[in-house]
Amino acid sequence: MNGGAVPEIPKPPTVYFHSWPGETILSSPAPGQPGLWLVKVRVPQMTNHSSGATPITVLFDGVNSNTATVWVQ
Amino acid sequence: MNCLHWLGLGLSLATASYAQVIVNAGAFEESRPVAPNSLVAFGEFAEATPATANTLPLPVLLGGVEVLVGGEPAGIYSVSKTQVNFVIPAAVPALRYAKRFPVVIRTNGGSPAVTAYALIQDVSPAILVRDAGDALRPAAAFNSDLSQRARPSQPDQGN
Repeated sequence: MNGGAVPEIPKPPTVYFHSWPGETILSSPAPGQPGLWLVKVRVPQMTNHSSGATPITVLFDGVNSNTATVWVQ
Repeated sequence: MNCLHWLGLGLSLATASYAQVIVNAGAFEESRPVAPNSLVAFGEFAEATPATANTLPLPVLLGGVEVLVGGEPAGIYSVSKTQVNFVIPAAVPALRYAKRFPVVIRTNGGSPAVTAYALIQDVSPAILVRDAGDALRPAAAFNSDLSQRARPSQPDQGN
């Protein structure tokens, strides 16, 4: 694959909703989409924040991602 | 089950010396390195013939355009006159701390060419964003049934 071989992943990424970590269920290359990864995560219980715009970040191998938003209800 | 899944990818960064910068194709941030095996974007290349790859592995020549990252040919997703999307080759030696690599975007004949740069390190996660122009940066996330939860019309109200 010209996109390159699949790199070794030291451990699954952690996805944070606000500051609450979600349970990572799956982390793998996105099928048929070189350069992209698919992460499945369970949305955590968030004290005092149960719905609405929720900032998320990914921590992977000690490196933080950008911040994006999901809407939770 | 309250479960989201989305596509994540690598990243990118900037500084001087070269006029053009390679950025992460999902987050479009110029403040981070990109990583090998990540999808990235490059800006204007007027000589491109618009095209989208429809085969795997990705072609290294698309729309009359080829991309070399540190001398390594990159698989190309799509080209247009305003954006070239490609994958940083795995063969590029990423380091724990970011290092700058030249990126050459050129036509098949080799000219004209544009030289940019990519700051590459071994790990640089980014969340794919649906609309980079949206200040809230909505994530390309899906529910466990693959439905998408669109941004509500009223901010901070779940839908």
